Amino acid sequence: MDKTKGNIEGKLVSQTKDTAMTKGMALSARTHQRRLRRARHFRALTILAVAMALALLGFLLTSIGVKSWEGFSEAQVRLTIPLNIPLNIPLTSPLAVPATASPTTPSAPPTTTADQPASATATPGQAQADPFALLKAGWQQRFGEANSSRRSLQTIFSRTAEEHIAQAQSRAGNQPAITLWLPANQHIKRYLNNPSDPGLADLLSPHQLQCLAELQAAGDLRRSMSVDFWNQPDARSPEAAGIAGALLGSLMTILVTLAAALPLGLMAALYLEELAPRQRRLTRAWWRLVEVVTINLAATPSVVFGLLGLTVFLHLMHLPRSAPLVGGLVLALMALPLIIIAARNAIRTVPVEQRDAALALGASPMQVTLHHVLPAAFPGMITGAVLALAHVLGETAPLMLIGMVAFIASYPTSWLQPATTLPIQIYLWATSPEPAFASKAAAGVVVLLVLVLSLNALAQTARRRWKHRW
Amino acid sequence: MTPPSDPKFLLRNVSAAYASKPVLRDVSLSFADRQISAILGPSGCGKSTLLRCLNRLNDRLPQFRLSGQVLLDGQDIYAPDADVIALRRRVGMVFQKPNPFPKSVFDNVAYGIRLHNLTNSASALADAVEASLTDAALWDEVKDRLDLPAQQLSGGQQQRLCIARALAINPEVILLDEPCASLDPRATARIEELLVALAARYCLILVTHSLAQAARVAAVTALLEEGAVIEVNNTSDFFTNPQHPKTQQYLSGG
Amino acid sequence: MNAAAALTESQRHRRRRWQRRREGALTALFALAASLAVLVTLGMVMTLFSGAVGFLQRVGLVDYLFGLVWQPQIGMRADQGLVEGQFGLLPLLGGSLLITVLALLLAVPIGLGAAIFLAEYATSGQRNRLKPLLELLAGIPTVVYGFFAALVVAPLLHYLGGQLGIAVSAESALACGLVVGVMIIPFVASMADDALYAVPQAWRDAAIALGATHAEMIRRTVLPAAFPGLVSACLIGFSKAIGQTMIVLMAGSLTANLTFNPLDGVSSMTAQIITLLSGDQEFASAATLSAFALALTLLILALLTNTVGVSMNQRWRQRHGQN
Ligand SMILES: Nc1ncnc2c1ncn2[C@@H]1O[C@H](COP(=O)(O)OP(=O)(O)O)[C@@H](O)[C@H]1O
Ligand SMILES: [Mg+2]
Repeated sequence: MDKTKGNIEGKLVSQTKDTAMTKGMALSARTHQRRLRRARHFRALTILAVAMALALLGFLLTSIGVKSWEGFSEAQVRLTIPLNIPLNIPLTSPLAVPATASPTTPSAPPTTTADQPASATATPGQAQADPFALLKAGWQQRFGEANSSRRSLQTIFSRTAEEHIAQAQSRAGNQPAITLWLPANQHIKRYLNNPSDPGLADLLSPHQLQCLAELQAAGDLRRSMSVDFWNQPDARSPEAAGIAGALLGSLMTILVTLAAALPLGLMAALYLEELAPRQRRLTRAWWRLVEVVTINLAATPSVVFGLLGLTVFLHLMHLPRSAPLVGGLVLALMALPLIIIAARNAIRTVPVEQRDAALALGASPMQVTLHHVLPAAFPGMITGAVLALAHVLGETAPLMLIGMVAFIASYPTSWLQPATTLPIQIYLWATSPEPAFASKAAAGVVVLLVLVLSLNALAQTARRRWKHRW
Repeated sequence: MTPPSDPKFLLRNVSAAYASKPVLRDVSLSFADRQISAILGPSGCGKSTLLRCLNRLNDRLPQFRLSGQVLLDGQDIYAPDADVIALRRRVGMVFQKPNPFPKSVFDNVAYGIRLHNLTNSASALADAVEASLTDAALWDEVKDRLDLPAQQLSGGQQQRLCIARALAINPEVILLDEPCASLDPRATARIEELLVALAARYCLILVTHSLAQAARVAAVTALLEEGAVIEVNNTSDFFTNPQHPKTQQYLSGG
Repeated sequence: MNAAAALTESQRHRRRRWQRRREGALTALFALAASLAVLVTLGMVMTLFSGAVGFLQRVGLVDYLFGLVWQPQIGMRADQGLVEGQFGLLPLLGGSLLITVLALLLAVPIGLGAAIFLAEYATSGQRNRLKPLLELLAGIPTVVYGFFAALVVAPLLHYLGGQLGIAVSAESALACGLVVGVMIIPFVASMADDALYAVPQAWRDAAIALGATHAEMIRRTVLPAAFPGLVSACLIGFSKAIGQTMIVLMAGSLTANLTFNPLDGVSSMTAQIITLLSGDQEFASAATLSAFALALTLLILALLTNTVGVSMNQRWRQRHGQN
């Protein structure tokens, strides 16, 4: 780099001198120095611009990365759970229905509650005890009766602790007891960050704090990667909230988009490039209009697509709000022009000689298209489609307009059930008044970025690999 | 043998233009069956365009305009009820740059046969492919590697493959647009040999910018300049006794 | 050809007719798919227009276009009834433009500078490494920028303002504008780079041969030649910035303030559309319908700048003989 620059500048010096001398003008050395200095400054400015762009990017990524660590991690308590307790403890599962009274209801108005779908699997009858009873028994064995009420245990453990116990129970066989690292309530994370946090006194009783100190002294309190983040849907309390529901919602939505936009986009692109009749002025004008309209759709702000979806799918067709089907269709409308434009570019790289050869053998235009153009352009088309899908995968605004802003604490089980998607989940967490959700949002951002950017990188590598085919 | 008075292809006052750019001006020509007719001319004079009028390959270009009559066996191929697909079955074409499909050697030759449903048994298909490759003097070189991708053949082999591909659907006319332009002299010689052999059965229309090639293989030669026919004559007279001053100039390397 | 294996002429004829019919149906399907874009556009225009007309029947065009207060009353309680609010566009338009201008102030110098570096100074190795990075940057979803603006930049500016004794709103337009700027840097840089790259090498050689320094060559020859392309890059960046939603929605203010002070909080047209329409709402209320009027205004602005940008770019390229 520096070599190149020195080279060019060096050449300039001699050239400038020569020119000046042949013209017989004495070029003052000072002017000349000033010009060279200016040239250096100009170059430095452009380097500064690149450096600033990279610095901004670095700032963006590091700040998100730093914040996301909190979201990926959780506090855990090691507890020995007895499995051979008598079954006389009531089989109600109090932790399972706790959040009803939770004062920190997120601001989003329409909510769906089915907070705990997994607790049903926890008691498959027989000799299996209720996981909550087991947790309680484990706590009591260690710390006695005090603070073993439902309320108290809620402030120590995450709601999902029960699920972990139930799973361990089914794996345990005939063992009398098992020792587990159980996910803890977010208060415990605060405690780990700063055991003398004054705010903790309002949340935990002195005895509980004492228990925690005991646990920590025994090495039974730690911070670790959260498993629940990866396999739980959203929840009202941050320690129990996971990204799995949103990931599934995103997957379902994007599958709808793929199924709708890819075939339509490819057909449209093939038609516009290969089949559209352009002999008459009227048809030529019509297909020209289609082109202009497609380009403009690609430049239309995404909210506008949301309004279209709201009006057409919800108000005219009465499809349900928040459904992956509707979300996927709205995103398909956005992806369609992007796919068409990319596919047309791919089609244009197919050499005209191939078409001539097939036509001259008596192939119809449709046969030329399907036998020759489509296979040859397919890699490029797919690359473009992947880029388009990666783009709409990160879309938030249009989905919000079709109602995908609800708090949804269950997995979507059908295409018409309310679902949430990854970007929406990030938005909900990021705008939640509870600060612990902000770090969840950062973790969600990391997941989304990894997904979208790896799709992008994949498509770009594929494009480079496939570039020189002809 | 068709008597010379009954030509295979007959062009009457054909003019053609891309958008507002005239390329062919009032061309009247006839091409006899079972012989090679050569069309000479400087590049850009409209030779390819002329050929592409004969199998209507420019039909789908939005700006292409054509007037006049093109008759194949006395039938106007531009008549409203004419069938383009059937026309292209009868009139094969070989292009300047070898353009095999990105498929195997076998599939390249079989493409047209399958396209037109000429056979419905695998063995008949294999026979037809072998016959075409033999006619194109390529069989001995590729018989052991029929599933080799066609793009891996040499340039000359690719061009003969394209000829085999055209022969496979039993055309009556074969249009050859500078088929040797991108080949070395050895490959060119083989193709020329092949063309002379094929002339016994087909009407061959050969566009070339090589005077020597026209002199070697063609029975009749025409000179095209700026879209207009300057002179047509049987080849020996065309070269030894040119009538038009422009022909004389062209032959002397002008 | 083997006569026994060959199909009879009539068999072949039947097959061909059948195939033609199939092709006809398929072609019609393809044509339909191609025309879908027109249908979508038509649907969009009709949706926006009918909503906007309904809105303008309640609120006059003049009140909308020149009103200084944006205060849609979304009846929170039933006993409030449907209080019709004030629907003046200017605070929102001003907010959108303020944020966009701030974004361009950041993105244009950095984007153009980076493009000049890429096209004129970078070695091919550097170019090959930086260009994909730019493309990758362009793929970051807006909600990520929204998160960055709301939870990193805005609090940071607020804090810095506090330290310096300057009142910086926690939802300042500056934070939104800066992050929108970061978002459009890759677009501006990438398109400006294309424009610079398209300037014929011969012109550069000519300038160098006349004794210009490299910087003088760029400033006097390359930049003027690429000027329309550079302007078009900025226009398309503008179009992207004004149509972007999530950043302002997450980091901007909820209330629309008519101000030119970048340290105050402002809202934008896009963010208001979401605020007005997310959730269950009365479809025919003025507040709901106003979202359609906003969307129409936004669409016109975004497409106008984009079209001017794109056509400028095309015309310029045609003049230079590239396509
Ligand atoms: N598809 C086309 N569109 C517009 N002009 C064309 C097209 N094809 C050929 N031409 C023009 O028509 C003229 C004759 O071309 P062509 O028939 O290919 O000449 P030749 O084969 O004799 O070299 C040339 O000037 C060429 O630029
Ligand atoms: Mg030619």
